[in-house]
Amino acid sequence: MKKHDSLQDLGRFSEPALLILISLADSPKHGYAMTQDIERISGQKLGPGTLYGAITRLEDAKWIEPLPAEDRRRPYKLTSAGTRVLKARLETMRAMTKAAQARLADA
Amino acid sequence: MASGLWRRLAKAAVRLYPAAWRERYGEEIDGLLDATAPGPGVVIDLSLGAIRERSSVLGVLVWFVAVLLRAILLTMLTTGVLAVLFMVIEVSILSARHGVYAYDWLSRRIFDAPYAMTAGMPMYFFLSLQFSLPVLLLLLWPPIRRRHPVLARIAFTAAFSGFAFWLGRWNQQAAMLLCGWLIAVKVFPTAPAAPTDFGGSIRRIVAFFVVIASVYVRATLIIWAGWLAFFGLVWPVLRALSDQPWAPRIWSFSLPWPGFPVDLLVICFSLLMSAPVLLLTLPTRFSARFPRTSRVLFLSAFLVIPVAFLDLDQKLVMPLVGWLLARRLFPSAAIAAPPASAVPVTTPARDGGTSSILGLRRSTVTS
Repeated sequence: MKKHDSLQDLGRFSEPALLILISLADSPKHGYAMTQDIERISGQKLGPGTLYGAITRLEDAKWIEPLPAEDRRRPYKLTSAGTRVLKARLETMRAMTKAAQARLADA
Repeated sequence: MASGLWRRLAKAAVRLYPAAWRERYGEEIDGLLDATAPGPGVVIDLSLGAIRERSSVLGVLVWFVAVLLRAILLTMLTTGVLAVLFMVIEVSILSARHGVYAYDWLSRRIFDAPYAMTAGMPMYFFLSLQFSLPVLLLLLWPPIRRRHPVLARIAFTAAFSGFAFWLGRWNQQAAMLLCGWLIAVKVFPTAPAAPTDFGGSIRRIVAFFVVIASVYVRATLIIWAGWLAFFGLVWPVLRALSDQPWAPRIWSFSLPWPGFPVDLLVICFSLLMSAPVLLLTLPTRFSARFPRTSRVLFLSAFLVIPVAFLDLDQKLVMPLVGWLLARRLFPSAAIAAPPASAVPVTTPARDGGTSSILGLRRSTVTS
């Protein structure tokens, strides 16, 4: 199995994967709850193909893990590796946002 | 009723996924589909997801077709430039000897050129692949593949293009040399390469044809609206005036029926002529930095056939079609797409996302 070090390694799934990690940051959620939460925080509605494509890759990378299924719904939770990756990505974004805002202020 | 139909289609799309994948996630997706009201977008999303999950098989096919198309287009570009140069020289000599009629011959040659240059290419491609397969298997032997990748590339290219050099013409030989090399570069990498995202490629190809279709419909509607406005408002006045004894003769023309206003075949021919420009500008950052220059380059190439050879109505219509296409392909407000992870939260473009087909994306960052 391919070892992933950062979200960018997931290619076209890096953006949905980031949204999923953010959604799971406070508590475990199943697929439907994730789509609702992501739509609320970002305005994006992830289709089931995109959502489960990203979940597959996140699970392969061991950044999230499944919990026992409840009816037909299986919740997922963030692992410690996933938390580390999410924090690293948010830190990069924070630095980038800061730089962009400073440049806009100078403009 | 409609929702039930889309739900059934979405569940059918889930069956396109590999069996192992369905066993793991199928029930969860079924639950998700039952909890929502799926529409056509969900069906497309699931179908594209299934293609991606099966990319090990489909991806190879897509890759082969992409290599073939790229090689044909590159060959057309190089041979086209050479052919035009030769034709200009040849026609100048013929014109000097036989007069202006030589230009009819030139126009026939230009129309025949794209067909002549691409004729038989798919057949040669697959036969070359078949003939070079034993050599490929031999070269895939790990000591050769790992230690001598450049040598393996050269050997495979020679084996691949051998068939064309045996039976083909010069344009097929050139194309197969190029095809062989493009395959060899992929199969025998000198450094580990990043995996190719075929799902993205398919989406871009589909989006490209959606742009063409939407432009075609829009241009047709604009032309019909203009014609109807002219017919309803201006034409009666002109007809009334043309009956006056003092009216100049030019007013007595008959109104032409626009017929089938935008000829799809002409668009295809024009796109074929502008393919080299698209090939050179679309995958690069050039169009993002110089959108206006890209538009002008594309439009110039797109209008060669309509302006040089076609009737007046197509001469008038094709600039409109070309301009609408150029605006969609090279949006001036576009920004180069940042790495996906660099954009925290994005909302889709209001134009249906078609501006992202070239790797350019109009995204709005929300706070």
